[in-house]
Amino acid sequence: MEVAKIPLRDEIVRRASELVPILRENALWSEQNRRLSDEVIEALTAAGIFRLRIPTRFGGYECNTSTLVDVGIQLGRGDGSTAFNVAAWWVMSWAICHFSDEVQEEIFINPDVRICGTLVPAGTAVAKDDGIVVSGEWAFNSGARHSQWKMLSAMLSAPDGGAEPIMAVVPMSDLQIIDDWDVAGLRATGSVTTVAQEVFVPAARYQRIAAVMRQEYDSKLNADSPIYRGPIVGAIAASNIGKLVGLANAASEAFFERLPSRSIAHTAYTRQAEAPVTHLQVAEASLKIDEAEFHARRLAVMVDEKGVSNAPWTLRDRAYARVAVGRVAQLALEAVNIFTMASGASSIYSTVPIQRIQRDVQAMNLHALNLPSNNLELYGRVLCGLEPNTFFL
Amino acid sequence: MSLTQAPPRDELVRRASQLVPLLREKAMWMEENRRLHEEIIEALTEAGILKMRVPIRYGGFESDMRTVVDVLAELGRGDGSTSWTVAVWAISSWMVGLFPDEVQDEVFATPDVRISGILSPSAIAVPTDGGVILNGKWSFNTGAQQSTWNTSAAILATPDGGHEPIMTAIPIGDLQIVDDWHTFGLRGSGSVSTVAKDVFIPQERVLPMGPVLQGQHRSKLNASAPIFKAPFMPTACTTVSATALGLAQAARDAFFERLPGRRITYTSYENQSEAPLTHLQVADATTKIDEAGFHAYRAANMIDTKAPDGEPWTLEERARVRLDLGAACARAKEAVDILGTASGGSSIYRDVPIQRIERDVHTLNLHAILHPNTNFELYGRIICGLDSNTPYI
Repeated sequence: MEVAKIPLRDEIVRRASELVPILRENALWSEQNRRLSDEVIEALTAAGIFRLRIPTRFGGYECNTSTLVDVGIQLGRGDGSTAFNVAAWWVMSWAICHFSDEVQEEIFINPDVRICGTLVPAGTAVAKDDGIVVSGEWAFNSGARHSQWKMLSAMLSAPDGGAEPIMAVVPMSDLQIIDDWDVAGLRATGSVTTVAQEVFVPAARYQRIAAVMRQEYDSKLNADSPIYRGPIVGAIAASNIGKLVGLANAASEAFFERLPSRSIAHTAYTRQAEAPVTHLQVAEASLKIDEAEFHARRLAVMVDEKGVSNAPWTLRDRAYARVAVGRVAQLALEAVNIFTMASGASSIYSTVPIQRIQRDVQAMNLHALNLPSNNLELYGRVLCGLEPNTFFL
Repeated sequence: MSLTQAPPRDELVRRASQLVPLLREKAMWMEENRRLHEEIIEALTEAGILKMRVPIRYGGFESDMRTVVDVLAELGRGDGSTSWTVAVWAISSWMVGLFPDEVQDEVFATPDVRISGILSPSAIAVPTDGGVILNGKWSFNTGAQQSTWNTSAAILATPDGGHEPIMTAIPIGDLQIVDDWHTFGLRGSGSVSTVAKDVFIPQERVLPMGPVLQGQHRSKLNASAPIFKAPFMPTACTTVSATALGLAQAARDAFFERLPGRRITYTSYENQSEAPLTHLQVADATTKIDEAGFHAYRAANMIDTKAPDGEPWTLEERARVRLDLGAACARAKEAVDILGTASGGSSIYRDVPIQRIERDVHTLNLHAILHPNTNFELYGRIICGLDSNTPYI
């Protein structure tokens, strides 16, 4: 197995920023075709973007989460759906790093491998021979058509009649796809439904989610890596948070690109740039973007520092990882909505990027792990000394 | 005159933190008496806090902006009026450091000298032999009754019939005090009016404001000191942003102190801390307080980074500090309002701190230099490519 030279953080970020024009060019086609274009996948592959969370022994880059934030911001500047899928793929490739080293060898034989999936236990599983048999139907499999593997979650029946959630990785060829992805936002993510009908999963390729949440990981070789020893809640939050900042920046760029030529119709303002209401709008939106980036970077620094020092995660730290994403989603949506409302009726054409950016950020806010109200409530419970009301911490 | 060793930042901040209980104890007395308590002034003096922005050669500390923000935020946790008054003293003693060195010798003969100051040029100066004659009245002269010097802005009539803004340094004894400080907020700051009637100011105590706003000053001995290389408005704006941050933190302290044992009257919630509404409120307020801190420290870091080499400031950078000030005030007020609203009818009694904190932060937000609307509009103008609509940037 060839170990690739690991690029420095600046180099990775530079490559990501160079992808921005390609992502913007492809955004409309991808939206209309409800999947990322192959050109985008090839460009992401060539830039090494899929390797960021894969161990170096397989040719991956084993990047910290500050790098993910940097890259996520750049990809989000380019296209929301692309940034969304990449973040989902980062989460799942990181999750695979906690399976046994043998399973990793099987999956990471291709260091640009893409694993789609969700952690909603929408399937059922029963023990059979040296493994389990899984059936079920899972919605929201972002990038399924461009993935080789899928992470699924199911309730595994216990001999005593109970059941507990597990996560398992299966080849995409074992699954059927139902193309139900006809949606208002993040259309190009191709987040179709997948179906498993009595798929056999060998024991090594599934884990009990309760054990994962307790950070009881199967991998020996990754056990001492600063990148892999934290909780999944931090890794997921830090993977997802940058793209939200990126989309808000995309809205800002889209707004200022159109501003010089715009008036405010049916008013005395022949130049929108000279209207005090515009000044209040752009200042308010800009500071919300700055605040969103502040939370994103603070979260990444927390994840990375704890990774290096192996410091424990308090309940409040875990809740902060959740609320940081929620607050960034909220601030990004508020900023994008300000720019959108300042963009005039001409901005509703499908060729004008800001309307797509708005729909994408809105869709991201509705994701159950991003939803600001959920995350604020959880953080507030913890600040008030109550138990969290979710296991997902 | 003896040179003191400036205490490290942590030490000064620790001393400020130790003052918090005393400030809270005296806050109501100060409101009722509309001035700082003598014990507070003694404690501030003993802690060295009044030396922060005094040149080292007079026994001052020349503390950097980060230290100033840390200390003033801690004082704000204790009492808003005290933090505000110390902020004004810090700005005005720094301002005296821009005057000719012989003026400084006179003013800083006492290293703990308290210098109040006012930026609005609401007086007229007419040239005379060896100086100017000053007539006018200044409102909002914070701490004037407890200061020995005052820096007062004025308009100087020039021989060509025009006028230019100047700053003057005046012994308080040369001014009359008009005690009109009957206000809704920041009552303890004693921000009375001062009046000058035919006051002679020798030429060396007259400083043209045009060059000061551009970052030039007349002190030779301070020319190489980093804190005096920073421009005036960013310095002043960052200083006062700390008071807003401290007040927001005070509200959080006050809210959580009262939370245990509180219920929500006329509802089924026996414990306010168990109500999901409370969780949303405290999480919302906490993230906004963090954001207020982000803005204050971003501005402080910019000043501290640029100051040592006297790096030039772009117009957008200057505007961003004003944005940061407006945003720190806005987020602080939003946070305090949320926590104030969650504090029940019992919180309107004058001995319950949160109502005072709310009035204080509201008052800060109404200050012409701190007002979020004004600051947002200014920053927005600049990033839309327009000129500044104020010299105070």
